Amino acid sequence: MGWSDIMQTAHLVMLIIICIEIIVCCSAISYCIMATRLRNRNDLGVIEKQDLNHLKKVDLIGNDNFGSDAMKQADFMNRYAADPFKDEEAL
Amino acid sequence: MATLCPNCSGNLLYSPSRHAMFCRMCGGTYAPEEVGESQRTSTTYECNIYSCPSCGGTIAVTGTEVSASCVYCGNTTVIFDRISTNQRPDGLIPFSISQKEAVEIVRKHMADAALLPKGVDDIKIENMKGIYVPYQIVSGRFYDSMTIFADHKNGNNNSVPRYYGRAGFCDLLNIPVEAVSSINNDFSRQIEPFDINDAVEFDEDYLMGFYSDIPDVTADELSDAAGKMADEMFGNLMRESISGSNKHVLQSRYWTKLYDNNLMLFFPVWFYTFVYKDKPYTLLINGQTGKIAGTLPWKKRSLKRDGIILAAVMSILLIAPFIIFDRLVTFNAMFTVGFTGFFISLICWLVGYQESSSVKKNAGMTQEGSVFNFVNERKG
Ligand SMILES: [Zn+2]
Ligand SMILES: [Zn+2]
Repeated sequence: MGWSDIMQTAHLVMLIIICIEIIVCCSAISYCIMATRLRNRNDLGVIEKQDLNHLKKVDLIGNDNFGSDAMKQADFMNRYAADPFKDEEAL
Repeated sequence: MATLCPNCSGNLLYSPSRHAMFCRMCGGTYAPEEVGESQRTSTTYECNIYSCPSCGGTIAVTGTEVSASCVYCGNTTVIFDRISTNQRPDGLIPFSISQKEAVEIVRKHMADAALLPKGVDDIKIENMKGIYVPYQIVSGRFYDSMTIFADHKNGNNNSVPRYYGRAGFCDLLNIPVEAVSSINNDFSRQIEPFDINDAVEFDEDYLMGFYSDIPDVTADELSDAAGKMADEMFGNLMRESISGSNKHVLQSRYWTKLYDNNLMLFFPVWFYTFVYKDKPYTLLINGQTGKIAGTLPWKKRSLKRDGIILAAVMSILLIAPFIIFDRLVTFNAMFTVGFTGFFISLICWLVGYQESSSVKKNAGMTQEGSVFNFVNERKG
């Protein structure tokens, strides 16, 4: 087998790989377009935002900014973990 | 239980387009409070309960109207079950969308839908049924604590994640909660809101020509549903207090306590049921505003075929240059196509998957089993 044969085989393999890559990519694009098409057609199921007037006299008891520290969320949630109506019933 | 015409003794039905009781025999119209025996001092009213042997759904009828087919599954034999005495609602919003208008709304909805299978748009007016759905109008106290995420831009225009904590309490005022356990709340909420300002005092006459449901949710279920809605509202309110983009609630915990003085109102809803490939589908239409909800079936084969054709055409167009210009086939080209292709594919699969699962979720709600929980309920 000569050098040119090897080169030709390599060339063919590369062509096949490129074809497969393109086909996979085009299938993905097509799938996405079809799914979006269906989604747009069925663009229902949207629950309208509730009228905020249903909430009266909103009083904040906790108002923290943790910056970029995601871990502080747990502390915050723990601080307000007790059932506030438990105390009310005890009174 | 029927209301008769003072002129000719024909049966009077409530007519949404005339906003009055209407006699089909002589054409007379009357205000609901003019006709029929007034039972406003009573705390109950009577109706006939029909049940469906196929799906187990029940529906209440007042007056002489006989239920010809099942509202929920389209089955054509429904049987008279019993006479039931129910608590009178405090009021109702009368239908203002007529059956004909509701059919037009469905027709338009179907005309706008691509890939609609043949035969589905053959609308049968007798499958369009007006049902008064009971809602509890609840008030109470509400506590909520949540953490919220937002993206901020720093000086170099890079996104920086920010975390916030918000806790608070408030009064809930007049939140309408759908009170029939067999109707999926996530579905009925899609046709809300209803405008309570149009509500009138309850009078049986409004039910003539329509069906009604009987409220059956427990106090706990009511409190859960109200809490879920209040949590969304509280989340919306808190998000508005934060700057940045891509804001969303990460965690939340809430407590709801409803007061006992609920109002029960009947809200008007048109149910359109059709059967496609042996599966019942139901669309809901708000009988006050005309807002429609429900996912229609689609031609699966056509969608697949279109997808394959599109993919094939794109592939051929992109592959052709490599075959025609032999020199283009190099290691560089292979890697470039590989990398860009990989990222485009990844994004497309993700977006496509998200879109199709949201369609499927909604489609599932339109179909049997999830819209109405009868079958599961009876089995369990
Ligand atoms: Zn008459
Ligand atoms: Zn049925």
